[in-house]
Amino acid sequence: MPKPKSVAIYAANGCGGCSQSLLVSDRLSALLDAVHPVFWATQPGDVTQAEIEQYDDREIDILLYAGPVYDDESIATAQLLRRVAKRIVAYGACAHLGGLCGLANLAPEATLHLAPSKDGRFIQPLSAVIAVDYILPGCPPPPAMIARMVDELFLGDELPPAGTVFAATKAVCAECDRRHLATPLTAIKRFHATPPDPEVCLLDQGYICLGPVTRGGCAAVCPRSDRPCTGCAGPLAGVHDQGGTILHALASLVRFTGPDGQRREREVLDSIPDIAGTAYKYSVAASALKRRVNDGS
Amino acid sequence: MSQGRIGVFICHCGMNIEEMVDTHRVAETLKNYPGVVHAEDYDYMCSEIGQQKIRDAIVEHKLDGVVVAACTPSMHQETFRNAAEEVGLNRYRLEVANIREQVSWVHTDREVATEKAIRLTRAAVEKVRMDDDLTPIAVEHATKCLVVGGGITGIQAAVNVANNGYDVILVEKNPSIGGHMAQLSVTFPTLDCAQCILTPRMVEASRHPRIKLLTYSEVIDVSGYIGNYTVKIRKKPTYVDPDKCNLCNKCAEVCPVSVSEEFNEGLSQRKAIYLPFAQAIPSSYVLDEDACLGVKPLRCGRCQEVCDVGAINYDMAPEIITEKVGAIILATGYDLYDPSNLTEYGGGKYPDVVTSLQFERMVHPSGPMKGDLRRPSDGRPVNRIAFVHCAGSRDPERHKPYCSRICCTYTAKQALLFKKSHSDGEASVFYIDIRTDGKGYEEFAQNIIASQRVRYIRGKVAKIVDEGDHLTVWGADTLSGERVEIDVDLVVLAMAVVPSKGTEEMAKTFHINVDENGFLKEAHPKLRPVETTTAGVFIAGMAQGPKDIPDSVAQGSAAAAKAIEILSQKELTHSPEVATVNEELCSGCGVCTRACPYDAIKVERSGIAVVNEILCSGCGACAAACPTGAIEVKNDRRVQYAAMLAAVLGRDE
Amino acid sequence: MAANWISPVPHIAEIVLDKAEKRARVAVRPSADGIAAYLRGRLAEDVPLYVQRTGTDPVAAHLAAVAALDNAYSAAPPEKARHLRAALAACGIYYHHLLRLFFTRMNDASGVSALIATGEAIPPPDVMTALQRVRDEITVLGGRGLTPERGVPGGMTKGLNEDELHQARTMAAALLEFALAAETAFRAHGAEWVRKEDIDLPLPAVAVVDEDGKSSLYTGEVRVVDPRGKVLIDGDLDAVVKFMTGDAPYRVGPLARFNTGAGMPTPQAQKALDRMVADLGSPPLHRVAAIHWLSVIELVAAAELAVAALDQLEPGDSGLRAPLSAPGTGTAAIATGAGVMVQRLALAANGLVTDSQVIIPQLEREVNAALQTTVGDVDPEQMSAETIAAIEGVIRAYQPAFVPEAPFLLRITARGENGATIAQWRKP
Ligand SMILES: Cc1cc2nc3c(=O)[nH]c(=O)nc-3n(C[C@H](O)[C@H](O)[C@H](O)COP(=O)(O)OP(=O)(O)OC[C@H]3O[C@@H](n4cnc5c(N)ncnc54)[C@H](O)[C@@H]3O)c2cc1C
Ligand code: SF4
Ligand code: SF4
Ligand code: SF4
Repeated sequence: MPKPKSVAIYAANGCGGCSQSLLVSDRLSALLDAVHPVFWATQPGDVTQAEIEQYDDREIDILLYAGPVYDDESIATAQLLRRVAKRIVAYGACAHLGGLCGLANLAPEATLHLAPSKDGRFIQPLSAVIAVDYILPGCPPPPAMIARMVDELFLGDELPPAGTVFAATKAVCAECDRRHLATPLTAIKRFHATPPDPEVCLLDQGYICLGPVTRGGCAAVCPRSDRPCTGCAGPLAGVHDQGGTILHALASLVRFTGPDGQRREREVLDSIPDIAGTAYKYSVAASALKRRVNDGS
Repeated sequence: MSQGRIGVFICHCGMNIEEMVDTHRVAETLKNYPGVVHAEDYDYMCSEIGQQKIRDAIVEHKLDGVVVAACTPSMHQETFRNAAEEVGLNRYRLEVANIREQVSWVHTDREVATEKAIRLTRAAVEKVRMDDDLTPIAVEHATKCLVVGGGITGIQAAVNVANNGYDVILVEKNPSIGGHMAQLSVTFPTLDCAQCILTPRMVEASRHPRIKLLTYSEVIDVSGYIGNYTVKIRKKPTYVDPDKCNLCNKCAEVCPVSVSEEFNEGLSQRKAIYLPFAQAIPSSYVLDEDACLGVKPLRCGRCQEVCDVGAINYDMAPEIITEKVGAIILATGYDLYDPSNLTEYGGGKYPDVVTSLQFERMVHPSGPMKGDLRRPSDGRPVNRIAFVHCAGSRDPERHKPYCSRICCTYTAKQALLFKKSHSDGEASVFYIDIRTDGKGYEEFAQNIIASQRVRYIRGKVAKIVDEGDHLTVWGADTLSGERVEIDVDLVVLAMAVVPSKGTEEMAKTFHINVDENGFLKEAHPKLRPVETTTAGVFIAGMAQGPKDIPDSVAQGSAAAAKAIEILSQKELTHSPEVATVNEELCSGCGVCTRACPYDAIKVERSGIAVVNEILCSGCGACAAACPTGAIEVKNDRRVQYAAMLAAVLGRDE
Repeated sequence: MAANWISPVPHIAEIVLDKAEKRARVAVRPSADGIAAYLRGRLAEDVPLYVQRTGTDPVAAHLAAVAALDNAYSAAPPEKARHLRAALAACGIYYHHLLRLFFTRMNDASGVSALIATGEAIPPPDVMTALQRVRDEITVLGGRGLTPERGVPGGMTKGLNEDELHQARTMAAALLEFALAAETAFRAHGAEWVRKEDIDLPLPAVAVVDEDGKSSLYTGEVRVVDPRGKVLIDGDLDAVVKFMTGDAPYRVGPLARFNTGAGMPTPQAQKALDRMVADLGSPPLHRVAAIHWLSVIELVAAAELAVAALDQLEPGDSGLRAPLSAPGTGTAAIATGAGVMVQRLALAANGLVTDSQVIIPQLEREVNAALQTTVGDVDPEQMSAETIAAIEGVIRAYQPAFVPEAPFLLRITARGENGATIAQWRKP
């Protein structure tokens, strides 16, 4: 495909952060100089399905889609957009993984302001309903990743290969300066209650940091702020299930020797509070976790 | 990667597999499996004919991968790989599907078992399909051997290794080598004097140009791996220069401190500066720092004043000696079970209830009684004596569950020795049953029993009471069903043997295991009796379990042979099936470093994990732990497992 | 109904004409009650992260949650942390007002802000630079640009080092310079428009005031005054919550602050306010379009507050966290760009959320009221161009350039009894 000439932005019920992240990007003017903006819908009502239908098939060169898919109407809209757009970027954690919204899938159904889709699902990542060409991770995407997307997608001579994720291929840890400990992990800590040692790897100290399973490209901002990585950039290419992978890494890190070692290991692992919100903060909708089965809270 | 020329061989294992698995059907089914160009079944794949079938098929069909469906790979994988290698197939492209332990032996329905065998064999085909050619990793190694423990076992091993041309470091924690054998009077069944046969060996070890003797020493740290161990040894100061000491005994004469003498099992006293025993090697007095009034700071100093040759030096300091060794033999021997555990016998309480080892010293011509047997309590002669078998042995409820193996024979020996010097004396032996399993031992014991000079009573002693001038032994004769009550002057307890003090900590230092009774654990009870699960570390003698001198010596030689196997290699090879790190993915998170049980993976300064291939056992713990998927074990890659899983679970086409 | 579970944004998406009632009503997205179900069982320390992604002002939402957590853990943040948070809060207001004033849909720039942004007075690239600068300032102070993350109960996770503090001060000074220029430009190009707009809507006002009784842009007491300026509630948070969740319409935001407080908290902003008062009169003032003038003045105030807070700050990470007590329930209210945000969090002993309530500034109450007085009842069957223009006029008075919430896309939908759409008009 030759250089793209047009761009459209569609935000489906996200928090607005993704739109803003593009709006304040240092590359916005370069983007708008390079391509013609077809529309910038900051919420679903801004462009109706009927309006989308007016566009020819593949008329829009690049469509940036932010926010999750959440009901039959949003699925239909996504399918329409797929028809009129040549290339689609899943922009931000909600489109990429379902995002924070995905945790709502685990809330008791009665409390949801949502109607399930025909196949009984609630929040889904965009790729669950249409083919997605590129991914711009992050919640919202950090400036450097947006810049990379603009440069590679709109300003380069050739389109990046399909499937490109505009983040690092290595995990957050590769960008983190913290030093490692050789000692095994013996207790789970929470960053608000026990201030971490600023030099030592948070995971090694017992804070559940998703750095090891999460794509880098953010310069490890969260660990640099003395709080663990929450995983917003999603899993690495080789990781199937972000939350499950950090949990099994934890299982490897927690070590006790001696006769009651196994019991004590279990105790530490069992002490992890809010596993879904911790290990799957942005990725419930993209994971094997589907719905809550036990409403007993 | 295989180009799709895989051969499959299904073994009947006689009827072991064939009975439950239709091997012919397995072969026929596999013939049609993608990538398989040859499949056959045969009676015994491990036989020479079976191996030849593999070799022939590799040549004839130009196979680039082989699957043998047979018993567990730990049995014959090496056999089959060697065969394949002979005709030029890379040995790591042969895989074994276990259809015996995992199929025929655990199933009862032939149909189900056959189906499972097909699936497991298919999975192995999938693995072979993606196996790469691998080259074993060459490792340089040290050519020295460390022997720990200077008893007869350690001496034997050290001399054997040294005689084969390799340097040995022999570490003994006591001031002299010799171990327990040096304490014995005579040895069964030949009744030759223990010292007489031991001393030449001790001298040989000490004079051998290739043996470096480190007495009064202990190993404090071990690191490294087979062929390349670094050991740190701590040598305690003896405060006496053995080269100057002329054994004049003047120092001991002036020494004001007396303590109980270990060599005589506490039956006599020695000074703080002493000669461990007459034939001690090194032949020198030693100053016992713990007993001495004080060296640092000096409190007494009398011994130095009287030493004519200036052998005594209070400034001696502990030495730390570091050595690189290629193999390690542990021969740390045994101790006796503490007799005070046997309260019903008054063990450790009644002076005239002694241990078997004390008895050895009592009857020894140069022992504390100069061979003239007397009661320790009042020095009266001994005319009536009782020996109690299984004192602490074979009593799983209260003491040790195992048989100490040597007691039956040495008790016969001791009873005989008693009768030899006290022809009118009465000797009774309480036994449960008589186990004299060594060569010539049964004859030896039966002779004594048959001679009727010793009364053998089958039954357990219930109680011993000290009546002042004699002891009363209460028991039951289980043959006659009668209660027995006899008065004796001395009771000898045939104490259970236990691993020598500190064995468990030492096992930890050397990264090996102990068994449920605390003896050093062998890799396989039958096939690898002197090996451990840590490559390059061997065990021998009493430290491995109760045994007599001939067995100890034999094991010492066996361990020496295993050590020489390593030392004599030009270079060692290590399995290439080790972990590798994809640098493009590794983020240096360090999770793997703590998952590895072998300390084989480290995050380098570069922020990338690096595997020490020689330490790596290919266990895959790191691969499972790695959150980025950066680690794969060679020929055990995730794609292979995915394909294997699909082959096992997949529906039949 | 495309309900919004964690994004309870008062988006003014459509004007809904209820056919049965023949009345114009501004439809809003569902309110924040979904949040309570969403947050139940989540980690307390993550609440500031979750609420800042609900579509409200992310900086304010973070700080309000952190303030509620302070109370839930009975932890009074040390002085240094308070200054850092204050600087962050000021930047949040600045960012909010900048967006509100200057940004429109990309290809449809019009309205008052466009007058400025496309005019000679402030070249658009300068606006862009200011916006990026305030994002960078938030990044330095809060660790992340749009969604700061350093607030924890009892303080902040991290302070500023020597370099960062210097950088922050330099940027704050530049932001103040831009705010002053914007205020000058507004008087030259925008005041006229404000004078012309004549929607006058007397409403009670809810706002936060500081200890001197002046308008606060962060913490303080919440005060409610009636349309004539009489104080109805002063500081009683429970009463405030009751009032805000009640049925009566009320006003929040810059105009409400003007009517509630005794002037601006900083000197240059006060001067600017004096100039506006000379033009439009003193409070109570109910002229809706004054919101925009006041927003520019608050831009100045926010920049001054940031400069002042950073002046008080010393470099280093020590002294940023107070020890925590056992978790309980905590409520806090803070001023935000759009008005007042209240958060209440109930925590279990293990620090998990058991219950929560988030009250966000709801402009739509006021817009509803304005539509009712200005447009009145309409007949959905007979929608004239004039009616549509009248509706748009009201919306524009509030939302001249309100991105991302409501761009210049006006859609009018008529619904039947069961909520089904019967007709739609859209301004071309
Ligand atoms: C009463 C009695 C009578 C016996 N009679 C006979 C007999 O007649 N015939 C017969 O064949 N067998 C007899 N035995 C058995 C015989 O004593 C053993 O088979 C033999 O001594 C085993 O030798 P070893 O070298 O394995 O152990 P040991 O003799 O125990 O030697 C082990 C050596 O290792 C040293 N050591 C221990 N720990 C360490 C360490 N951590 N570091 C360095 N050095 C260490 C010890 O100081 C000791 O010198 C008898 C045993 C007993 C108890
Ligand atoms: S990805 Fe994050 S920033 Fe973007 S819309 Fe979703 S919640 Fe908001
Ligand atoms: S786990 Fe977290 S703190 Fe540790 S190195 Fe990775 S990103 Fe840094
Ligand atoms: S676990 Fe994986 S990513 Fe982490 S340091 Fe080891 S190899 Fe690298």
